[in-house]
Amino acid sequence: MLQTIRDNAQGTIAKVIVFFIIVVFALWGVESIVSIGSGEKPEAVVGGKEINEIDIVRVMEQQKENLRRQFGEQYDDTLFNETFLRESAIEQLIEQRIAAVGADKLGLYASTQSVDETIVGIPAFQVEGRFSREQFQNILRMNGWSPLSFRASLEEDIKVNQARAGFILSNIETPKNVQLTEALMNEQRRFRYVEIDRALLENDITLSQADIEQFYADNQQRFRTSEKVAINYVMINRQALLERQIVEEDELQEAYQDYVASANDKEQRASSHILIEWAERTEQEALALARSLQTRAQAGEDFAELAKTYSDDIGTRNNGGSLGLTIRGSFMAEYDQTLYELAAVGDVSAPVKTDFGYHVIRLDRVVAPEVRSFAEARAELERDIRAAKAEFSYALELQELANMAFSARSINDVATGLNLPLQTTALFDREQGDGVAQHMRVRQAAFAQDVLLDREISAVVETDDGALVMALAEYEPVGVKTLAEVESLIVAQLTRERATSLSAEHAQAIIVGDKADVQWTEVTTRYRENAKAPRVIQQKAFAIAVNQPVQVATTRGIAVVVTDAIDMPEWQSQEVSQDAVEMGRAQWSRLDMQSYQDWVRNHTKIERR
Amino acid sequence: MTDMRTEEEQVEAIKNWWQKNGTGLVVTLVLVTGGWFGWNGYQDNKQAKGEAASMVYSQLIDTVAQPLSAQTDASRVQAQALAEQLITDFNDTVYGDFGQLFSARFAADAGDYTAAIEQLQQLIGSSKQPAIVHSARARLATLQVQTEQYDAALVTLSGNVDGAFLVQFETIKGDAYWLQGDTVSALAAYTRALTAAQESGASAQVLQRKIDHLVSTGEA
Repeated sequence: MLQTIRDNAQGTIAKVIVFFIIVVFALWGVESIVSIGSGEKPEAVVGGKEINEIDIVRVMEQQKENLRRQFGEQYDDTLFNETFLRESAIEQLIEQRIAAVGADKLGLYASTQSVDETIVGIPAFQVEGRFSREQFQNILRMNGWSPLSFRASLEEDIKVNQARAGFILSNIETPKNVQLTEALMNEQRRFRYVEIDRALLENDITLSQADIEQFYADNQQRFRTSEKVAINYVMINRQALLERQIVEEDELQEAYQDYVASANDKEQRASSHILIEWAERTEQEALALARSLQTRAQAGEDFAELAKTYSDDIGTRNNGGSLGLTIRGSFMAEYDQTLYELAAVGDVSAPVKTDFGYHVIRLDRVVAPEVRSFAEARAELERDIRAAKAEFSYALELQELANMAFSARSINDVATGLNLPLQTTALFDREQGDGVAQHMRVRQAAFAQDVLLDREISAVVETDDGALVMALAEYEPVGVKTLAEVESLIVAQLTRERATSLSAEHAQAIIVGDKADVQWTEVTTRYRENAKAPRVIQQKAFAIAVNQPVQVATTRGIAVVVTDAIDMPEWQSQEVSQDAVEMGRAQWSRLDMQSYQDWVRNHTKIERR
Repeated sequence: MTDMRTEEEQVEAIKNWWQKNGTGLVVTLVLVTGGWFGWNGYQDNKQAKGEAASMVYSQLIDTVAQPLSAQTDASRVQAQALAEQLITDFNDTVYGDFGQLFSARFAADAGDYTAAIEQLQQLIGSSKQPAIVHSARARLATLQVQTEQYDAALVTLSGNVDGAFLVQFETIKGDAYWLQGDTVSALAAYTRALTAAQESGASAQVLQRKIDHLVSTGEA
């Protein structure tokens, strides 16, 4: 297409197109063109402001980072539900967008200068205490920001803060308001209460067998048990196999020979080389030159000097030609072979041809591998041989087990056929079990149709410990726990219920005055003080009229509370402290802030995908 | 076009066309470019003015946000001057509104409730921002309660109220009624405020206290 435009560049159409492009660039900048085509549908649109995938990912990363910091080493990505994190990130972004929409509605501005100052002041963009442009751009790139979008988000922050500050910092608290609040907080009341302890009443409660049976009959659903099975199984145990293996002395010897051979292969050799390429000479000339260098080096000339003068390997020639220490297999096969054929340190090889050219090689150093003695290596060798043998016989026995399970008529036949013990589990359900039944695969196989319904021998089931086949030993259908099993639970619950209603009866008796010698606790306190009475009781005492006893549920049971006197101080006489004014101002501020946010939210269109 | 054989004829035709349409074309071009630059200039000017106001305002909120212990008479005078500057120089932006809110606060802090009331009344009359007007009405009513103009406070709070500001409005109404001695109306207003506070999740301890007091002393 470009070629066509170039061809027609003299034509009118091309001029029009070029003019159009110039105008668009000049007026709206490059991003107007770039932003066309990133046409992914946003997750949500809040008052015209989009929430895109990249924003969500960024917030989620931030949340994860915070969690990581909070939980330290215990942090595990899988601990936190990705969907939940995502939802909460979207909610957070919606709140942010609402705040930004509010600032726009108000018509706030962020000056270029304050954005610059903010950027320069962010510690993450500083190197040795000074703002670094490179650092700034790197960090932006790492977090998926462009300088333009980052600036836009800072502008948004500045405007949102200005809106908040406008409602919060300009708030007014009046002395009269402070005095009213103070008077209410300083209101004094005299009250008494008596708490009826439910636990003490429980001793007096006797339940009839009929009550218990009735409750049991009414609540069958709660006492249901799940389906259970027990199985007979035959198992090949990996550990037992391992212990059964016998390792002969000659096997150990053989393994040791192999070990020594492979250890020797790990010999390291340091070498230097002179490379002669034939890019600017013929191959024959190169070979001739290499041969002459070999001869000169063998005659005692300094190898490093020769490398410096003649080698075509730019990487090593100023370095004596040294390639350093390597193990076999590090270089091209031809080079390696020649290097490992050199007998003594200082020997120089004949020219070797590789894809690079001709090499003249000198052996610099030999590092012998560490070879342990037979006595030292014995334990490990024995363990390896034993494991390999056990693995082999496991595979054999597994095959045999599968065959037997397929052909045997009963699980007993499998056991006798393989000369393995027949074992039995306790009853277990689908969710949990003991012994082999703690493995989910075993439980699944036990409840599968072939075992449970068709009463067949199962296919082989493998666990970490080995392999087994099973057959059903016992089946217990869905049922209800017997009364004997749950009686203590029922008694506890019924007793508690009875005791609670009995406490309420006692309380009512106190309220109507049917009870003599009540042990009242008397309290005189201001509202804002914490008296000895439980807080719920004090709270109630400050909300009821004089001489009107009421019941209050407490943690221990039920209390009766009576307020005897109310003493509200004159508000006019309350002190107006600076602290109280600021506290009042803070309360109005919180209220105004919330109202402003609610107002914006109510007037903003929020669309979710 | 094919009829025009010679260059002279073509030149003649262009001249004729120019005489007919030339003036109109030039005028249109001038108007369009003029309008374009004018609009841009207006936008730039508005942006520049907004940014200037934003800078002054930032300075103001930085000063006021300092903890009480760090504030001096000098800093208070400076804050007052910045608020004044917003009111006089940036009257047509929202920063002018904020200037008035702050100015009212400074007057009230100094005990000059009359000045504070005037400032807020002016703001309520001129501001185009409903949220600011609501907040200002609540503050005005509080100051009217402070100066015992209870009926005026109730008038300020009456009329159109956005649901988002219900808690403040009903609370202050309750205060006005209570201090006038009308505890029944006070209790009703406080109860409406409490319902609104519970819905929006606002703190309601003092409200609850007011209601409990009125209920248990039988004043309502």
